Amino acid sequence: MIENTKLTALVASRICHDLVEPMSAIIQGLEMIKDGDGKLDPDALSLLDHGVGKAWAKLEFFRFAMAGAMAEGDSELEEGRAVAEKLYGVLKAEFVWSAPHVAMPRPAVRVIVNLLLIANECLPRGGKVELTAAKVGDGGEIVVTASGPRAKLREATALALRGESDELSGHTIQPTLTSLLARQGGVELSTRESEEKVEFIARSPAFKL
Amino acid sequence: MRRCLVVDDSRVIRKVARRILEDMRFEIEEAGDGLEALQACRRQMPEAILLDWTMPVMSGIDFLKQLRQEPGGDKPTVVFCTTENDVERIAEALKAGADEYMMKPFDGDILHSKFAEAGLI
Repeated sequence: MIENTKLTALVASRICHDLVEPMSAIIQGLEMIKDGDGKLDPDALSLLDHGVGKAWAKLEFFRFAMAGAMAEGDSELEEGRAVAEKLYGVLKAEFVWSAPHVAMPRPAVRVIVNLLLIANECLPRGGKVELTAAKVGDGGEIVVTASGPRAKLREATALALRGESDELSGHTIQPTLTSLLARQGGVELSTRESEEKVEFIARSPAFKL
Repeated sequence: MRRCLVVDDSRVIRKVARRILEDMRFEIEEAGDGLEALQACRRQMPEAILLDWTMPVMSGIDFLKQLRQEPGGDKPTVVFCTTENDVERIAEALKAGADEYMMKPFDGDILHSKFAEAGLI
């Protein structure tokens, strides 16, 4: 059983961690403009542009993936597409959405969106993340594939996604939340690894292609 | 000119730190993870290392433990950066051989005062 206070602290910590880089860029960009007596330094503008863009994308991502965690009801996979594409617009990896329309419960959409960020974390040297969907029996299967140099799934992340993690930490909070959301949305999660490729598979009879 | 190795998986954080530290008259080398940092130290040991904690391939703490085993690895002053005010993590880093710690995000004033506390300027 996960303590609520620890869960809350680690979610907050994860959000702080992800906002540090864009905030650093904004702080430095503003310092450069101040030091330059208000002159428009292209490097300062580039830092501000990067910082604001990334902070905005992360904020929208976390609002969708975490802050809306209790939202219920029917939805479509497509609901997560805009937030995912905006996020990948500021990340190193390329993102390809190759899925048709899939009807699913709203918590399941959040599971998939969370998997997309976890997939990026498997790519230390960049690469490609692709989302596909297929009909399986009466339901469906969504596959998020991360491929690139040194692509690797951390053992702690895999355990947390399966809901088998003993220790909750900054590294495992997002896969742990994803696992909790999957249970809430009736989604079965699994992973597959091969050379320079990690696949996240989400299956549910509630996925309607 | 003294050398500082900036170790962080974020290109932007490295760029920000480079700008500030170059103003403080440091020559900068960059590494994107602990493994790259270790290779850089084996080529030439820097006087200072600004070290991130969470990185792919090799984390900051694993790098630090390995660094202190290397010939001459006791020499660099290591300032490790964290995004969390986590006492256990800070204690672990200091035990592994960090000389100072600093919270991210940082600006020029914070980095300057931290390097002064560490005796680097």
